[in-house]
Amino acid sequence: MPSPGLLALALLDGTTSGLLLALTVVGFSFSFGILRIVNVAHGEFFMLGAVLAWAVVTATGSFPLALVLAPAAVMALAVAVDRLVLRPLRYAAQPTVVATLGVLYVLQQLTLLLYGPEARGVAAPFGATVEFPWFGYSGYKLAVAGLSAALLAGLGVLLRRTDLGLMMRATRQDPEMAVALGVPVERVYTTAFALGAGMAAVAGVLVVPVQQAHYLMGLDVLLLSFVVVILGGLGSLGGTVAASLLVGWMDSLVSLFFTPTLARVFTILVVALVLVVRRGGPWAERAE
Amino acid sequence: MGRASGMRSGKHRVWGLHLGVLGGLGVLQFVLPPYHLGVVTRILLFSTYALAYNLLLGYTGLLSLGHALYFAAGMYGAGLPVYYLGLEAPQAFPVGVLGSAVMAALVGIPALRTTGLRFSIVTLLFGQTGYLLTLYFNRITWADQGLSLPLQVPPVLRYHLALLLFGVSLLGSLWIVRSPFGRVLVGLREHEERTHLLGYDPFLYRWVAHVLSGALCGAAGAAYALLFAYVGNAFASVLYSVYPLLWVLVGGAGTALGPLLGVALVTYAVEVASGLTHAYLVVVGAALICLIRVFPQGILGSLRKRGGRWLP
Amino acid sequence: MRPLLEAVKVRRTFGGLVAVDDVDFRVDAAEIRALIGPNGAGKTTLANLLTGRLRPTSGRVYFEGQEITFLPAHRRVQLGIACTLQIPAVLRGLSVFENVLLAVQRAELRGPLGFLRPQGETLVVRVCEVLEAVGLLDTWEEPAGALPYGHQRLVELAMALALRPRLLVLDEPTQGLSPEEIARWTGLIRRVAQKTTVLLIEHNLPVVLDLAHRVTVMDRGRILFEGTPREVEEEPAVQRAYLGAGG
Repeated sequence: MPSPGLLALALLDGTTSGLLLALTVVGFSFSFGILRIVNVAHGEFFMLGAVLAWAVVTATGSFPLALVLAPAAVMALAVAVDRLVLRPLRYAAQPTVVATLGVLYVLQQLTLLLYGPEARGVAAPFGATVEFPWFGYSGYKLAVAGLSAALLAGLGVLLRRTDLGLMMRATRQDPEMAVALGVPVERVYTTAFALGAGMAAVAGVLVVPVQQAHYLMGLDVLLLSFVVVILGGLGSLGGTVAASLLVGWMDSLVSLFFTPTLARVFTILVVALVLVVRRGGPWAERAE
Repeated sequence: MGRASGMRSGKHRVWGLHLGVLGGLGVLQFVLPPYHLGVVTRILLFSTYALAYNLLLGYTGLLSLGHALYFAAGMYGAGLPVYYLGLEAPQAFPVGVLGSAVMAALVGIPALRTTGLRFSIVTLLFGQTGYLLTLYFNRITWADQGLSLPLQVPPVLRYHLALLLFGVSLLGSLWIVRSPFGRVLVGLREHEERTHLLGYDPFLYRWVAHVLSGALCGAAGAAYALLFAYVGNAFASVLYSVYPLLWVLVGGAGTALGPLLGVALVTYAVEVASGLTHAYLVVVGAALICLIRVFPQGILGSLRKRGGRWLP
Repeated sequence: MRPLLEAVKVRRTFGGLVAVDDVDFRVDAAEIRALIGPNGAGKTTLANLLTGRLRPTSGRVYFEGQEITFLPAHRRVQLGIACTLQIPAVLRGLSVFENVLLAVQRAELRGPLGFLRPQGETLVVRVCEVLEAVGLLDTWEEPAGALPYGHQRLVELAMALALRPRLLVLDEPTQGLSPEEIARWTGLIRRVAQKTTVLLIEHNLPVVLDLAHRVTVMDRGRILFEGTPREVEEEPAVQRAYLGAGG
């Protein structure tokens, strides 16, 4: 049995990775909830955030600059993907799966071409350790947790309190009705898509000092995106955060007892079965 | 009734075309240089895989993203007994097929409770589970390095066996889709509820199609392992679930020869691209995007629309 | 005599809405029964409970004395219940011929082995018979989705007839048909009814009064009245609830 200190550390670590995960996948959840597409390439936005962060930090030495530039570039890319790929397909469910699968390979392979197969990290912008009663914890990781939580809260405010948020929620509820009410649905789609991609890119930037950037890191995120969205329900910010925290805790707790691979197998199977058993509801057939 | 014979026309043309294609492939071995003989052997095996996938995507209307599971099941099912138990190739082959059929039967029971997008995602998750399990049992599978099997098949015999497997699969799947059973599958693709209300159990028919498809994937995987004397978990990865989708989309979903055409085009495109860059998969990605935008029905599918309606 | 089909206190709710409210309903063998009522009366829902497209919230359904309440739709078809839908459901991409063939093979082929043999001459002949009956023989090659709406209904009818049903449930079958086609259709149903029981959900009152042996009137999820066409015409409650609405 692990000591209480180890358990507490696992919980704290789980919270950090859970919040970061929520930031990463909230865009995937937006795509599904608002655009009604499964964006298989979503993990690549995260990966690009990380790789671009490495590039910016290497070139300029400034981490805060990377935190601004990388997400901005990724958002611009997301707008392009929306215009060039998703919109021409009229956001139809199965064709967009195939097309975003293509986007996934194009982005991933271009990264391999330009950045190479190595995993590269950057130093954390600050390295202080925060002392807890049983253990010390990286100050940078705490800052990551804090920033993720703040961004998610900001997103919540945006959804609840602004006109844009209102339009996004209306589109999510009923796109036809939203059109009838004069909501510029296509603009809402683009905004939601770019916003989600930007959030994933921020998460990608934040993760580089801890985890290193690698051209295949998007695939892991993709799988976790499915897990979170299926557990948490689509397009709902609260559900996404709750499910992400759950996954974070589960991953770090189960990893205390089993190998990570087995833990992952277990999670995936549970999610697949949830998807099978929970008929109707958010994952019912639509927009086929 | 004079009309009745008209309603069955195209039959001879169809079988003639396919036997002709198989004959052409048989002649090919005398013209091809050795290197390309190996490539075409691979194309034939992957075409068998694509045929199996097309049975599900093209005729039943189910887009699976986890078929690498069945290809790999056939591969490991045939390869591991050869490696560990010293089984001969002819006995190992049916073990692989049986393994993947059982796998498809079991996975199908939960997965086919869903259709459409959910089916794609559930199969993706099951496929990924299979991949992770090959990693978990690394001590047995030697997952990423792969296992070399103690077999040696001369290239020409290899070609013959691959062609035999492909020929049997092509004619067999053609027969299946033209049979009353195949018509029910197409009915389910076109309108599930109507077909249900004609007295067909959607789950049962899809399940049988899924098992057939899985077993045929397994046959392709087992043959690959035995003919090329290699087993590796790259064939269980998502990429090998995506490839059949790409092949079938290139060639034309729901066309009998589409899989062969798709595999041939993609394989040679990748051959050319990988000569230019190690990031050759970028071609795969670009092809997927362009195809779904320009040729949503694949090459043969579009041909059929332009007047070749008899093409199966 | 035992009824062919019997529903006992069937009830179906959607959320808070009661679509079918504890209805007792029976159809005798060899009759043509019409089910009429204003929009939203629960006619289609009731029909769906009988054909198996929906499960009742409570109550039971029997067919020839056998309980079928929880039997899936395809099992009911095998027992002899065939139906056409309010919104015609055809396999749009396939030819009319292929559509009907899919139904014919269900009735004519036996066992798993039968389903692997290629189509035989007998099946083709049977398809022609059925298409002839509904008057679609000339369009056998057309994709079913390209036909006019009313003709898609006829394709559906052909498919249902091909199943050789004991009970035929038709939802709004004459919508979209021209007067001549309706006349032809009426004749066809009369002929079919010699061997098959017909349950008809229909808005076209002249057709109902002309064709049906008995008429059931539904309103707000309940059965308001049941009788011969003449009794229905004369019943004041029916006049108020339904016929009277227009004039």
